[in-house]
Amino acid sequence: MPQDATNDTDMPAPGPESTASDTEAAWPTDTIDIMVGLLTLNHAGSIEVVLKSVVEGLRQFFPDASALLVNCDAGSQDGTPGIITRLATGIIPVRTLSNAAGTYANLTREQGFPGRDESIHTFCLTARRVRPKICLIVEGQLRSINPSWIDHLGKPVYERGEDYVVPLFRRHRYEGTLATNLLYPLTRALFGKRLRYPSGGAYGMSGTFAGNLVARPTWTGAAAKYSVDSRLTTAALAGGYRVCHTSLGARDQDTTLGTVDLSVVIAQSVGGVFHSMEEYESSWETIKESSEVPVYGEPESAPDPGPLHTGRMVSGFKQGLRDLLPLWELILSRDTLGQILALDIQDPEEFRFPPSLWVQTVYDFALAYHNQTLHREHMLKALTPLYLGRTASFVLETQHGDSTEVERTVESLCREFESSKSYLVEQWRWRDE
Amino acid sequence: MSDLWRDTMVAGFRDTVMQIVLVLPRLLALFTFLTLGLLAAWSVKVLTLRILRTFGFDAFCERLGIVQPLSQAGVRRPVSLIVSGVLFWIVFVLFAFMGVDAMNLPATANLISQIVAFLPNVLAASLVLLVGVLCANFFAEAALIAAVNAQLEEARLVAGLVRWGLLLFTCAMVLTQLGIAKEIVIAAFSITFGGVVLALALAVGLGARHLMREILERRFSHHEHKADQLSHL
Repeated sequence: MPQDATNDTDMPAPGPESTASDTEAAWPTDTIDIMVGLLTLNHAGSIEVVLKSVVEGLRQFFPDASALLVNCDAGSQDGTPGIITRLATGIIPVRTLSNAAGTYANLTREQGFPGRDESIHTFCLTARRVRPKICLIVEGQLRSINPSWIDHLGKPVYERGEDYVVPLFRRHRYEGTLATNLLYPLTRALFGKRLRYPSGGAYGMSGTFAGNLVARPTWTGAAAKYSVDSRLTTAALAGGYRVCHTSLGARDQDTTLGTVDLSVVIAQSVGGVFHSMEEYESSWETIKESSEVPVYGEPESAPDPGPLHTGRMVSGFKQGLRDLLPLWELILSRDTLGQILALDIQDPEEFRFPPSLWVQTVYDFALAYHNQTLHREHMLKALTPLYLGRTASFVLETQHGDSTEVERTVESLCREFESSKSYLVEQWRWRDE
Repeated sequence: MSDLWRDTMVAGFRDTVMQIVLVLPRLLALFTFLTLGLLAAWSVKVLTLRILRTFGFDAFCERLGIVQPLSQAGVRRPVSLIVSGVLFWIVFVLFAFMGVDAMNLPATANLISQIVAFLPNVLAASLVLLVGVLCANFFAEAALIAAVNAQLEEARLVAGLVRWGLLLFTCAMVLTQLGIAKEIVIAAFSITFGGVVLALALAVGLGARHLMREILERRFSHHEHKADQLSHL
């Protein structure tokens, strides 16, 4: 049993109060085909729907496979683990693993809920012990889950030999602008795979990949401050695992845990990728081109959100230009800063932040992160106004087109990231010497 | 009369000469100590600088994040130069004290022992000052970035208040540590800090209540600005 586990509901399906001792014999090894990790934190309101979908999905699409449900709970106070155990009794073997209280590296997460990272870590530790063929991770707040998700996440691993399955949810053209303008182009340029940045919710993994993740030094120390989604993705890409997308349709989730500040989102997700650049230095420096990854199912587009007002984004950029200039002077190269200062900010409707300048800006921030020019969290948060500027420009550039136009702009930006990578590599090596 | 005048003159002259004869070696000792001090301090400075540069001390300090707050505080010299400069002055001042002690002046009779007894306080105060300045810069920078990202127009004012508030607090701690006008410093700090808090409370509660309501509504209302809010991931 993993170290973090404090409550273990014994197999095959005991009552909610029963507790087993932490012994090797209590855990099945090499006999489980599918291990489903249900990540929860006070999800009593949505967990019944999620659990029923998981059970039904396993019954429909993997009728002959042996399955184990592992509830990784981050400290629910509303009886979520009890509900899971009660509902699963007699249907599927279930275990409950609770994260040790007070071990959370960061209570504010860019997505998901507090303790989610630790729950994934606990799940991977269990996967290393149980050695299942397939691992599925599903979050307890996903109300829109249906049984076919189990098929879409599990089959690529089970039948096609994929190691890491990243979901594609139905999105409108401007959803996930940080992913489309920074995280996806950057990881694509770095690791040579056209894998969209994951937005959490659910994952499919091979047992090998999930077990090997535990060996990475990414669960403690500085790395633990950053997004777990970024860590999973870069570990898969840099480790040469087979990665793919699967289309899951709409994502509707319980958002009662509130929203997180944009600068925190940027610090954790972008910081995660920058950190991976140091961790996997030898993997990305020599990659020059990118290739497609398999996509299972048909990606869906959500209806257009209507006109977006970019006024506040442009004013955010302007304020950054006025107040954060001394910090940007330390981070950005003279050429990049000169071009940013020369941007025309008089008319917000005509504001443009060219892709080439954005690429230079992101690469300069990555170099400053590597060089520790500033305190790293401050540096990452100082990127926010520049990101707002780029996002405003992205919306203004594409507002009269359709989703194809947006995709074309993103693709063009990705190519810009790839073609300018030599600048990043050169500067990175020069600073290392 | 003339004998008395002559004796007085001779005695005066003899006493003065005696005084000069007695003081001259002490003066010579003072100048010798000062010269030796200069030489020793310069040697220590050069040697320290070479050692620190050989071991890449400046790059190490940059990695530790010491250089940036120092440059923000207006100190733009390499840290190795600052350290060697401080050592220069410590060595020179020590020699100077030896020189002053050699003068054997009544006013400076216990100077060295007093200074040595006071040194721990000075060291503690220096440490408090260093940490205070670093903290003031760090938190001012954090406040500036947070305020800019929250799009507060007065971001620099917020950062300035954080910086100067912490510096004020540091100064009070340093003066207390040094034992300089302890009661006055504590009273002045309490009055100033309490006054600032009261003024802010009045300003927010009375003077700017409409503005504060607007800011809080903007911060916590999920309905406003919906049109330009995006899901970033």
